[in-house]
Amino acid sequence: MIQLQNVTKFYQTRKGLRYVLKNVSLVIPDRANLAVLGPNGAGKSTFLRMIGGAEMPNSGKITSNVSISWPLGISSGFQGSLSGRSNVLFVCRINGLSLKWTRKVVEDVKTFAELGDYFDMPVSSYSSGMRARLSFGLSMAFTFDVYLIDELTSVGDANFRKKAVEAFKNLKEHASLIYVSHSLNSLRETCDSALFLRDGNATFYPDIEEGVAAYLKYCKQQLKQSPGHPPSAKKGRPRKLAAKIATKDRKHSPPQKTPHSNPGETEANDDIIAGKPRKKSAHRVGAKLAKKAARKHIRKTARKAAKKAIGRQSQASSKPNSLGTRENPSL
Amino acid sequence: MPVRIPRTSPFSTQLLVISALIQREIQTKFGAYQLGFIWFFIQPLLGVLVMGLLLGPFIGRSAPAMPYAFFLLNGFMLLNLFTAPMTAGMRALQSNQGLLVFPGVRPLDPYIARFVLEFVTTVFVFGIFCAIAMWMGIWISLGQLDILLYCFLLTWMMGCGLGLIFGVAAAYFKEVEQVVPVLQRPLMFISCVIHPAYTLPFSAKVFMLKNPLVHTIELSRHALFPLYHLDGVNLLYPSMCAVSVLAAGLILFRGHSHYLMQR
Repeated sequence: MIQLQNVTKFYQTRKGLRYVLKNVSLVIPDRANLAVLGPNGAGKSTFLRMIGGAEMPNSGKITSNVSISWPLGISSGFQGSLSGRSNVLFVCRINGLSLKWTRKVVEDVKTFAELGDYFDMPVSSYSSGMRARLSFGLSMAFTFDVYLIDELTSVGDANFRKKAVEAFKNLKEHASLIYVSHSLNSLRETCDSALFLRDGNATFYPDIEEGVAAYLKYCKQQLKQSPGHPPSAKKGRPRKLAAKIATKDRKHSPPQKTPHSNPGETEANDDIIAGKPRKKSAHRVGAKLAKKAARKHIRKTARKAAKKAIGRQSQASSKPNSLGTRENPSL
Repeated sequence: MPVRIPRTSPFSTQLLVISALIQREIQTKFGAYQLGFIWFFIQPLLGVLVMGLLLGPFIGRSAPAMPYAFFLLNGFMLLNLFTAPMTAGMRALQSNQGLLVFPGVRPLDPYIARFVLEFVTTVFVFGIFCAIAMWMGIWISLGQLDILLYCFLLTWMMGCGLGLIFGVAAAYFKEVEQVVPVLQRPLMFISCVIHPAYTLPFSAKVFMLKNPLVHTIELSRHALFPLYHLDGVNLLYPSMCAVSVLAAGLILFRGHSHYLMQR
């Protein structure tokens, strides 16, 4: 059980305080596989870091009677100039493992991550997928009651994803997950309850479908309120052009980027927004299909527009990104 | 079957973390250079060589109690003990930010690791130099090693305190990282590294003795060469400076640890 009592957490920025959690009290029950939902910049990663003990709340208390992993993300906890092996050894050392267990951990990570020669090369030469493998392998080598996972599987290849799903299944027998991701499908697959973070509030939903529904509703609202702007940036002044475009084809609104967006998030965002209007057909399996259809549609309209404007088919229209009007105005 | 992490007390956890961080610092520090650890010997020797050749013939005569090369070496090592933690402290957290995700690693730990490493390497290198000097036939007194060690500790503590203060300042204003190296440059001239303090005119000496480094450097020379002439220096003033600077650094760090951890 993890208990948050009147937890307040804010960030000091040059433009004043930004609240992540405002006086939040909640209890995360044992064996609840928890999906953490929320728009970009809502503080999902910070939430995980606080649960993991990497950051302290500004006021309030977080107590738990279970062993919690460190938050495993892509960029976390590795020194770039050192090899993967040295980084693994470092983690063993700070946890005070004996030589025997250290050897076992190194062996486990090596077999799980399948990095080959890269295991003895500097982490800075790794791709993000390889980092994710190392990070994942490292924490799978240890036993925890709760594993904190931050957008880890979004960068892996098919093989790694498969492995991750299997690992999650094994984990579920003896541990639980707290999982941050923008891919609703993988959240649905692995979690059964949800926590929705927004504007400093946190709402716990015992059923993940309720949480997802609330989240999608919120996203839709935000999109209406501030077209063309990231949901978290409320003060932004909507530009006319952006408003026009957004109302024209809101269905295929471009992926929105906030300064804090993680790699892999944009794609997942697209998936949510594009998948939403076709909810009937695209509930679970159809998210990809919907995306595809959306791209096709964009390509078609682009081609038409190009024909009208120039009178002949332009080469650029074959690329969906070449739609000048659909550039994100906030960039 | 995965490995279960053994439970340890907070104190031993901190010891484990600091020792692991020191090992890691050694790996990154010496891995970057071709000659590795040898560089720690070469750096002060180069300084001695350049300064000794330039100034030795003139100033060397004014400090007859000890060889000028050793006079310089002593000053350089102590100055290094002051500036190295200062520079290391400025980026200690920045370069170890990722490690804070691991439970047990507190924000002060990277600082402690770096500071301790600086102290141990400098004292070790200085010890080797002393041994070499004695082997070469230079007469060094070992009767006041306690005072020597105390001087080293005080200098190092002042450096650590400033390292913490500048570390916090650099988190708020990036410019600090540019300014501090510039501020460090004149230290060699105002800390009596290249000339003895007693040769200064009285009016200059009054100002120079405001610098606590002058006290520790002069006293450490006296500790190794008891015939070296001391004038107006004491241990109390640098002790007070060291304690207050270190305390200020720690208080400042404690007050701003939330901000320092947040990235």
